[in-house]
Amino acid sequence: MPGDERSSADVEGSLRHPTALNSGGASATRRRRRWILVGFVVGAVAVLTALFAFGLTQDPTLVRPVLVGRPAPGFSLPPLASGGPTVRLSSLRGQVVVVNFWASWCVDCRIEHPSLEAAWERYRDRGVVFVGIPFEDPRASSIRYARQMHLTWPLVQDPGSVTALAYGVYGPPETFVIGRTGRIVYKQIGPISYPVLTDQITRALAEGSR
Amino acid sequence: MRRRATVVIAGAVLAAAGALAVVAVRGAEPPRTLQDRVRAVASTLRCPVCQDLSVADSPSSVARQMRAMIASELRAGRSPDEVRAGFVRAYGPWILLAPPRHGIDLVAWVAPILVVLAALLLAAVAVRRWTFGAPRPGGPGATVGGANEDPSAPRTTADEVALEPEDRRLLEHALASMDEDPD
Amino acid sequence: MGLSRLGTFALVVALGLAIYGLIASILGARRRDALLAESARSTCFSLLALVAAANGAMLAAILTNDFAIRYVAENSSRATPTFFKVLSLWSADEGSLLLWNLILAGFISAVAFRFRKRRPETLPAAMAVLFAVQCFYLVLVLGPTRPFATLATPPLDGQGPLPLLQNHPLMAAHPPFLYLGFVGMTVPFAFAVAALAHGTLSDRWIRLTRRWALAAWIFLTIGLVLGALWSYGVLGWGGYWAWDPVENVALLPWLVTTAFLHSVVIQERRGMLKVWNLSLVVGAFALTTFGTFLTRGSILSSVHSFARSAVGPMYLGFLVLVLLVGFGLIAAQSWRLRSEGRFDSALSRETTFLGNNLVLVAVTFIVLIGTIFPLVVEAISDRQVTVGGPYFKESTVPLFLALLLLMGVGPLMPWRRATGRQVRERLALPAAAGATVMVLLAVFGMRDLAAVAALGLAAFVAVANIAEIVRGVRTFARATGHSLIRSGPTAVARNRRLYGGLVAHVGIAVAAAAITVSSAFAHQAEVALSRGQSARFAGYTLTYRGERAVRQPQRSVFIAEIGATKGGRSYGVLHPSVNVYPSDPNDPIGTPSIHYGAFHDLYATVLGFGPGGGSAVLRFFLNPGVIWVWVGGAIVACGGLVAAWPTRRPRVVAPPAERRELAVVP
Repeated sequence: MPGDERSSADVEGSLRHPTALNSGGASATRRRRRWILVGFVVGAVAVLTALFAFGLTQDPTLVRPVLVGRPAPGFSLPPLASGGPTVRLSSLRGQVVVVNFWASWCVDCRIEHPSLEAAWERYRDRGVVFVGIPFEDPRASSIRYARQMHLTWPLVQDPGSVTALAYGVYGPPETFVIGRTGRIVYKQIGPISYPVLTDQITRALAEGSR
Repeated sequence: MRRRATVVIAGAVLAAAGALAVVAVRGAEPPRTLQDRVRAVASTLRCPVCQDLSVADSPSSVARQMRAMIASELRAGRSPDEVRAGFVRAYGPWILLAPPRHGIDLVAWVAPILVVLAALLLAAVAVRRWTFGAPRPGGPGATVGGANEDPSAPRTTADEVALEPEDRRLLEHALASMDEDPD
Repeated sequence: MGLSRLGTFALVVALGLAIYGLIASILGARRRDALLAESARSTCFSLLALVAAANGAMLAAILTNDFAIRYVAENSSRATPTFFKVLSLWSADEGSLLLWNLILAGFISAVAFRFRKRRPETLPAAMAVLFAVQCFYLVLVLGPTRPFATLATPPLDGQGPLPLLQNHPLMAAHPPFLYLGFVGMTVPFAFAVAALAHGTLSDRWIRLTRRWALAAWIFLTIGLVLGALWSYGVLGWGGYWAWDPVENVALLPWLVTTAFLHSVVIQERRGMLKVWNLSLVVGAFALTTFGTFLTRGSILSSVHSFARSAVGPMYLGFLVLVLLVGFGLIAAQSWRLRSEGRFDSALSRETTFLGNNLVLVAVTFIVLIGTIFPLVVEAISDRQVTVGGPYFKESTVPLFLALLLLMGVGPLMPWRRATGRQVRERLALPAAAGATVMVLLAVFGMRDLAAVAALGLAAFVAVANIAEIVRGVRTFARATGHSLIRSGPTAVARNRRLYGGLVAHVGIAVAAAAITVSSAFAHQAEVALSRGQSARFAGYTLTYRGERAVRQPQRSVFIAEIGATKGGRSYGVLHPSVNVYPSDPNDPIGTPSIHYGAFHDLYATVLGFGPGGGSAVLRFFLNPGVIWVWVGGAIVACGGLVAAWPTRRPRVVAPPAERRELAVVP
């Protein structure tokens, strides 16, 4: 082919670019440009790697609770079983309040029950109040569950789950520890263990006394 | 024939533009019934226990309670933004299905615009750089050295007799296919 | 026990073969040692046999209830029906990786078989890349994600598959098709990398792998449609696409591959866009790898999450390797890959293809950015945000509308240069159709701007492409003197790519119209009914008749019977159900009941029952036009098949039929 400095049909194999045809200066800039491009690729990949490595260190199912450190949403709820007192959060100011959301259909609630009961026994006379709120549970089932499991701390109803939604509950069991000033100091999603619960209660008690 | 086609197209474009303008001016229908208003708000909130479903779509019990709460809040006269803000207070900005449009989250909304601008820029550059003013043999000379980068380089005799790029490709293709499967 | 050892042994030997294949291919390529390369090529068949044996062993273990194997214990049970037992081979992480390995080995063997006679010079290097990928996935399956891990004390019965995954036979088809698509993109990637590594300037790699990319694209299309169908018919939330992160990452390779299928034509015709096409192929494979990383590396939680934290770093490492090798080679070689040709005019089919590419890649970037944005925010400012449906809809709808416009205009444009006259004549009818639809909708009081635009454009696209099909067939018929019907198949056969593309465009138009209609006109109602009570919904009268319980070995099913009538005519009984699986009694799975229709689906789910079945909380949906989404998807796949159908060989000179057509058409 006239004027054609390389074979035009690639039938057999690779085509080596005739580098001899390049002038020295042009190929130097080309080489530099090429390394700039490669450097750019490496840099972009490095940034992505850092981002994804960070992502690997995070638990994707854990949503960080936003209410910790903020004032606890107030509530004034009627008792679960008739004949009990209405529980108003504002009237509990000055004490440490542990709010526990549970349900009769919740398996993990049964798992955490011993921890709650033990902590209740230990702290009930030391300025700590437990409040149990059933979530999405028919009243009869909640009452039955409470009787079965011997829930001895104050239990209330949450019609329309207004309180649960105000507390940002995803599903039971969830436990909130509210300090004496009315701020939420800790939120546990999932069953809470005795050491964690007592640790948070102790801290909340200590904080108020400063 | 030619005239008719032009007239039809012009008419079509005008009619379409007119129709779109009418629809645009008419505006989106504001939700009327309470259920519709609840749905409008709920479809901007994320169901906390589902994977990326909105509160409007989710069949879970939490979502149902949230819809009931949205309904009662709307009935009490709160605005959709206030209802949303209430949920954000409890669950954090994560509960919104789309990131809020301020702060660092604004980047998410600006990014698509930037991408589109970049694409338009690329298109303009590509069409300008790669389009013939008049047909001109690209030829094999164009790929050697810097000739491709210098459109004002003087054309050699060799260029003038070189094949049109399309024909060269066809020839190449034909020659290659003699030796391999014409896939 | 025996099966576990057999499976592990098969996989270990397979890994050994893959390593040998990798090394031999590399050495064979570098030393140009044909014998070495050949030995590498033929090991892949034994590799396939071994991986198939491993899959077979797992299948046998599941079917014989070998609960000593942990995977079987966690994903199957005695009570699981045989059909779902087979499905559980790929319903969870480890098993699906086994399937992935099998498909990959199958593709490698297919490549080796396909090129057994005419061996392109880049074949050894491409085989090396393929073997390397196979090595990675085999290491995964022998290391952190071992399906054949055994339990010290085998339980008496397994847990059974995740309730959500054994609810519906659609689970059978969705993952295999999707995997075929994902794994299929490995082949073009391998040949692209091989071509780059060789430093070749030739476009041979495109000719070699174009059909493989098309095949992978067809599988991806089917896999995505099946996934949407599964979401609609099984998950029961009333929709079919939730912009879930895992859904998004499955969509991205499809978008990029669609772009590639178009820009490939420009490279074939004009020798342009070389770097672009290489980037698209590398990008498609990288996105596939990114998809597996996201789905299995527990980066994001999702319906699909398998979530094993140990594999995350491995997937990340592999992804980084793919990105560095792929894009690094492109960057290093790009100075050689200059465009050979030019566009003749700014108005030509080539430029509409360019537009198509830019729009598709723009959508890809937007969806990608949206999907990883929560991660970025969390890394920078330690907050958690969600990027969901509303964001993606708002940011991509304008681009999809632009794409529809291109899909209608592109096929009307001739190659090289569009003379005003040609285009105007072809444009008249489709433009009129589109405008008519828009005007009608405006007159009927529609208020959704995007929907009106989308429906008008869909009509435009459908008419334009169908008209092109008819015009092409008619030209051919006139030239040969046969009737339209008789020349139809021959005309198509002579230019499968063109007609396949046109059919696919029609399919997209149908699907786009259906998606628009189903989003814009859907109705929903939630109502609590007691037994015998009726509700009026969308013209239907729906009566709750009561609850029925069915106890099956693997689950308890509680069915709500709802009678549906409309204007006195009975529409049968809807029976949405709640399924309770013993493995997870707190998490009942709802199954919707759907009355499919050509114009709309009547869709019902039951959210809960009152005590004793005396009442139920029900949700009803009226989803117009959804069935046409599936029909449209099927048409798209058919278009792909038409385009991919192999031409009869031999053809000594291969004139693109478009050239002949250009000569015939005035």
